[in-house]
Amino acid sequence: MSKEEDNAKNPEGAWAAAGFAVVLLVVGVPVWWFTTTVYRAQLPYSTIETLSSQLRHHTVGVTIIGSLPPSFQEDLVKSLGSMQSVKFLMSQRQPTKEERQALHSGKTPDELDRHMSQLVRVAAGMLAVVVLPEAMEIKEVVVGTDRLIYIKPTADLQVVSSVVRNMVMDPLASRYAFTNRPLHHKKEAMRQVPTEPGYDVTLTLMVPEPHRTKIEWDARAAVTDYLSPVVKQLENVSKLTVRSQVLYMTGLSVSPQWSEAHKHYALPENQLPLTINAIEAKLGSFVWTRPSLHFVVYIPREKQLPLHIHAADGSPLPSNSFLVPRWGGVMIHNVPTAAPNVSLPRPVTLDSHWIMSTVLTHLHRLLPIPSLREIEGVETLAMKDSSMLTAWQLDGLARARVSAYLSNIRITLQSLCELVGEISNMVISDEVGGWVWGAVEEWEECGRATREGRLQDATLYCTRSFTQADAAFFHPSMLALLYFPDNQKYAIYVPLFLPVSIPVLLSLKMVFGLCRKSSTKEKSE
Amino acid sequence: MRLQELAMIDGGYWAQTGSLGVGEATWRINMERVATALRSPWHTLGASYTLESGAHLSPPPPACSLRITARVRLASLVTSCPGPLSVVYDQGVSETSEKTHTNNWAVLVDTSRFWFNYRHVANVLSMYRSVKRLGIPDSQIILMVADDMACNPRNPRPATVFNNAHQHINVYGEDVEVDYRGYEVTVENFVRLLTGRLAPSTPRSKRLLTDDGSNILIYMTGHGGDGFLKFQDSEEITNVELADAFEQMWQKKRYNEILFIIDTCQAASMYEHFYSPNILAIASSLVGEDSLSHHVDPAIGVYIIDRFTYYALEFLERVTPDSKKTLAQFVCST
Repeated sequence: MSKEEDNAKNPEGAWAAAGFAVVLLVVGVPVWWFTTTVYRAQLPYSTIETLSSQLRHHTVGVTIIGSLPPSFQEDLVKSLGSMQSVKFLMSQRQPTKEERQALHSGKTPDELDRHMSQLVRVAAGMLAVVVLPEAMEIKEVVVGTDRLIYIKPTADLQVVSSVVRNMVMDPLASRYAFTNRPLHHKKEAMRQVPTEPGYDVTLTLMVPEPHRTKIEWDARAAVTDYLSPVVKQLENVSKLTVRSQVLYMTGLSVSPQWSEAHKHYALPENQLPLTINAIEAKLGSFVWTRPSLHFVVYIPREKQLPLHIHAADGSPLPSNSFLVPRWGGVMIHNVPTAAPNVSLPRPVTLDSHWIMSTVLTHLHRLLPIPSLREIEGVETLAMKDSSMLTAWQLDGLARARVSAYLSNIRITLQSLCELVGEISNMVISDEVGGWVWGAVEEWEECGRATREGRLQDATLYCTRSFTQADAAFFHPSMLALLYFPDNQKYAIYVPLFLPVSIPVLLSLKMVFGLCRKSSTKEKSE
Repeated sequence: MRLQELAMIDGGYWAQTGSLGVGEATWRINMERVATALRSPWHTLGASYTLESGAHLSPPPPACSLRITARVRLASLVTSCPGPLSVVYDQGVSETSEKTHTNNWAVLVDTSRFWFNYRHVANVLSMYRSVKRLGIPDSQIILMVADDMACNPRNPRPATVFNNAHQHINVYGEDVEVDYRGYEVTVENFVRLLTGRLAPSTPRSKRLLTDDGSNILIYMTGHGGDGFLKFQDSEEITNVELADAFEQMWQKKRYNEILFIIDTCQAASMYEHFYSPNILAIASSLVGEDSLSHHVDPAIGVYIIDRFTYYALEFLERVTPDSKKTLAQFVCST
């Protein structure tokens, strides 16, 4: 009774409680909210999802110049259509007068190719198939240096089809782009370097006994003559920085056996894997963070000359070099043994041509540059007097890299979205947001460019998108560890708010009491 | 070794075994989705994991090829060591066709400091020495040691760290290369190392530059508890964080296979939450068990090495770069 009278006489208590509650809710909660939300830049989640689910394919236009039997053409279209990540647009036209003249007058494949390349202009990313007159004395299928394939009407369909497929994209690369998991059991797939925008190529000359042999090799000239043209060609596709060094007093720790039959020291194949690890630390690969390719030229020690690598079946390797997947290659350069009374150190010149052509062969395998080696019955023409790549090789490489980039970007951005979604209070800075938006835009452009067959644009967009996506993903602030999970959030805020809220909630009882009092008073009145 | 449980979780197969042999090692096979092509668990579960040191060339012949193929046909399981699991190898599989990795890395972590934790430093340095001897170069080993025993003022044999009371081998050696030392060994640095989110100024020797063809050995030692591992006496890494770090690595294709060896108390709890494929975890003790040290060296005055690592080293010391020992033999011997 007295309590109710008290309450009736002191409505201030109830008003005070109400006031506290109001302040808590209207002022306290928003202030807490705004001071504790983290800054999260907006990310284009939906765009990433839509782009991820789009199937990508390259479009390659193939023009057939000349007339083929219609069944041949249909079958060709059908067999090419089965390639998964490339769509072919076939078209056909008749050769012009000059082209016909050139076809008839060409004597050797090289001459023919030279004339035709000047007459037929094939855009980057396309191919043209030229039908040769029957009477020509030439192999059934000849691949030119500039995106032209010359076939006779009697050519084998399977051969033509596989030539076109291999020229357009390395088949392993296309499978990898589709499945996006490392291809098991495929040595060739494991050999390729991971797709990155730039590589450091290091040429190392290892001289274990400089007091005996004074090596004279002009590395700079060799690189300028052989390697620089290729590097320049590949600039847009992948940037290669070439360096060279000489390593003295370091040898490969191998124990070759003297082979009486071949009169040289035989290095068996199974010792090769153990040679790299000992020298890896000395090659200076810790200096830069870009992925690196090493090409090592080894001059054997005096007492192990001449040194040849033997394959598993005991026969010496003609190339005397081996390739290390994703790392580079090693070649053994034998020098003539010293004459008995010559003064040491004796000067020795190296065979630059052999060294650089081995380096280029290894580079072709590592990058990988598409080749038609495995297909029989095809003659492939190479660029004259130059180590440069043919145009279709460049296209094929670019296409493989674009596919690899696209799948990488998709994975990176999807993973980033998942990570960000999982941890709701992770800060997404403007920097990261900017990169992600940029990456998504370029990704979209790249997808469009590949679908329309614009290969050079696609390469450019893809490289930029990949760099930005990776920068965003590997940003140091994206570490999940730095942000506490949701259940810990409660552990922090509950002890803060509960002691304050309980009295307020309990005193709301007084407020309700007052309300009811006033309403019953009104009723009674 | 008996198969205790076989359950199908998320399309993968899990097998958990009880303790085996000396030293109470347990191991668990985490099967990849590819293995689910074989529907029934009573079929062959071919999961082969190869840890090769020094194999770079393709096709790489096995150099210290530790390899395991678990064929689970319950009736015919091998029931006790030393019968190796290799008895039930798949017949027609050639060496080279199973290899999917192109390089090896090792991350060796010792998380405890103070003089009385000498044995943890000896553990990790012994593993470092074995791994280096068998072919992984320093540029691909990340060594994290939280305290320096060799130059500790309480060390009666300065500049040395021994792992044996007979002091046969100085595991500190002349050419040890520690990448993260002293107070740099923190949970944050460790997770940053694994996930690759390092500051741009981090030098290359402190980065884990693996790719999708890398097999990584991750060895951790120190003091642990149920679900966590203590770092430097002041912080912990939980098994959930570790599992998340591995998942981030898997998503960005930073490993082919991981061999995760952990020598702490209640170590089995650390791999409980792994949910990424291709990880083989070996722990030195089950949950509720302690991992004990092996022996004390009265001359130095502290426990010198832990039991699990002692037996592991007994095995590894007898492995040469061209041996054909298998991972099954390694597991059975510890």
